[in-house]
Amino acid sequence: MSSINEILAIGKGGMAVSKALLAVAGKNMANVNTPGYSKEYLTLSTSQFAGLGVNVNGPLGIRNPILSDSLRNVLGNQGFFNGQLLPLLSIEPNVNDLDGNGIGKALSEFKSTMQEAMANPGSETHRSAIITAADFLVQSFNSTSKQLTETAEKTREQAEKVALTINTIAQNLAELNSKIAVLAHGKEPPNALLDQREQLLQKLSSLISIDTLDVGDGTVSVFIAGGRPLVDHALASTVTINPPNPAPGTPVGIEIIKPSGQVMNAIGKIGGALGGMLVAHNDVIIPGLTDLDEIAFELTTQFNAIHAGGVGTDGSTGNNFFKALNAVGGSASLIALSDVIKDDPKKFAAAAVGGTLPGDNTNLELLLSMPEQIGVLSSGKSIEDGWFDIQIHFGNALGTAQTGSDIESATVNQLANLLASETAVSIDEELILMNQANQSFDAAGALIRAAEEMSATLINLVG
Amino acid sequence: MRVTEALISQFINQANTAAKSAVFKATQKVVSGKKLESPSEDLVSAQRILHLDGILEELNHFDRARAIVQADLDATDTVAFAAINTMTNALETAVQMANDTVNPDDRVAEAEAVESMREHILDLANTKLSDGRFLFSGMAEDIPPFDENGVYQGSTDKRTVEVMPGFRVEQQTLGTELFGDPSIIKTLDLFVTALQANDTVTISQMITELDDAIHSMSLEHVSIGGRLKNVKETEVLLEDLTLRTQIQRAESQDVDLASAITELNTAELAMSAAIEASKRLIGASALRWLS
Repeated sequence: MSSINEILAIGKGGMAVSKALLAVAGKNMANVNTPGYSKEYLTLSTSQFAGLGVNVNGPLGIRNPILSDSLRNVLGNQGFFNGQLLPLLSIEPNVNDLDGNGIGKALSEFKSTMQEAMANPGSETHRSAIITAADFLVQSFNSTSKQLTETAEKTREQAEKVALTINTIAQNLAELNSKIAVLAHGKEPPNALLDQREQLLQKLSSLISIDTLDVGDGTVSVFIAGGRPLVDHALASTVTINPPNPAPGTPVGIEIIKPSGQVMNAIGKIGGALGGMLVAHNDVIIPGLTDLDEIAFELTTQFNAIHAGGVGTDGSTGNNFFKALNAVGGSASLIALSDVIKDDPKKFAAAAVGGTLPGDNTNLELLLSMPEQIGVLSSGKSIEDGWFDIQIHFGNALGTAQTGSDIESATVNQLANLLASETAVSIDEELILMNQANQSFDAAGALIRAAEEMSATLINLVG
Repeated sequence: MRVTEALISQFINQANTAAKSAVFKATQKVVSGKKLESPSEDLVSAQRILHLDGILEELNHFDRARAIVQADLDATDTVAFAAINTMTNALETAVQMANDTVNPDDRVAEAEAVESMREHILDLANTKLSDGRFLFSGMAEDIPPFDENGVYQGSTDKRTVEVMPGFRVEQQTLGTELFGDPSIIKTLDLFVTALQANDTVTISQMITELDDAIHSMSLEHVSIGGRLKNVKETEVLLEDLTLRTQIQRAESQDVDLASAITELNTAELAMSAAIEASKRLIGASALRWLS
């Protein structure tokens, strides 16, 4: 049987618990809009000692490691597709004939002027039109090449900035690990630090795909690029883009430098925005640029070969139509009309050697069919089909990135909603808790008053 | 499921973004009138449109060349018709002058008329187009096909032009093909000389020669007419092919405005519903009665 003092102690304990509940409800409501905040709660249990009322543990934060891990994985996938979107979206207008511009349209106009000249090859007007259209074609090649090269360069620069952000986050995670390890075995878990760390992990995973390992001492190790350590306890590695300052068109990768100075290469998927940018740079833009260079080179070389074999209306032969190019690399940026053609339309070789000038269109016919000639490119395709393939190459990459981004965004939303449902604050719940705390506080007060009255009655009996 | 404040705000944001995005896309379709504007939107349709664009451009290229070929053949046909008429007049003159009842003075007088016919034929044979090309010189179209003596000096090569995929047409008629080799100018010269010399035997022979020349010219005229007819039919075929291709292209790229507007209305309705539902969700709180 409990003594009056024990009853008073129970009442006091009940009031303390009510105050603690009110404080937790208040903190939860105050942080209802704090990003990444996990709802805190107290665990209450009956005291093991008879008559001593209630035990309180906490506050603890609501966490769901499985959902958090899934969200981070999906954020990595979403970042991967989003990382490709920006560079590819900026390129698309340059490789899209559907908008009525671009190399395909310029090539078509060039062919149109030649087709028209087929019926009047001696006409200076038609010859000038061919040269004007050819000039527009080479400018289209030049500007498309410039746009692709600049976008590749900007993508690489952006990847370098993302690597710097990754390094800052890794450093912050290492510092948080260190603080959490110290507080992990204290009376109250470091909820705010744990929330901060989870938020940083989510931000990091959108920049680069990560795997995490809860080491057990309160720290979390982070691995990237197929198992390379980024954060290990209180130590952080750094990520760099390699090679630094490469020549335009050079593929780039990442290097992971451990705190010891040991340098490691990626051995698996990089993922996240950084991985997306590297894919856009290495697998989409640079191959597209290489293909464009080959088209410009073969157009120049093959067209020149046919042209040099023909005769201009002034009787000249052996002239190049385009300035000769020495190598495939950079051809799209270098392709230009030869000065001799630019200055004198009479030198356009529509006629065959030995033909009858100026109405001979036999060489012009060969020139006209050259862009359609199969087998000109290393892929076995024609110049026209090669350009078509480039449009499809970029369209496919961008379409895949857009679809991927949409799908992953939907999954991110779904997981974020599940996580918010489980770990975030519900004002209604907190209000109910507040009322419960208020009522239990009143009840504890009533218990103390009753015990005091009983105590007074007993004292009076004695008196 | 716990409904937390973060869940409510995330959900409203997501619903609002999705509804706005749908309205934006539907508006974009109505404004541009296009189902897709870049290959990334729908690769299969884009490939089809680009392929059809290629066909349309090719048809346009052919049509441009066809227009020039048709204009040249039209001019050739007109000249051939005029030349045959002149030669028919010359033949009639030969028939009249071969008659024994005609006196020598009349023949001498008629020689002048035939001479003028000869000059007309020479002018026709050396017809120059508005862009400076000689019509009957073959590929050497910068030089007159016939000299003053009626000797052909043009090219023996003719230009052929592809006016439709796989269909080539001879754009040119050589001077020798229409005006003969040796040319009918020389025949007319002989006729003039015979008239001036009152040489009735030669004048009588002229009837046969002129008749043969007209026959030969008529055959060539038929050939020119045939080619012109083919080219004109090509024009119709090209127009028809272009129209069919444009229809196919429109099916792939152009928006059905009625369905696009319906889609826009539906998207707007969905957005209004999302906003109203969001308002209710925000209001559905115990805050009012518990606080």
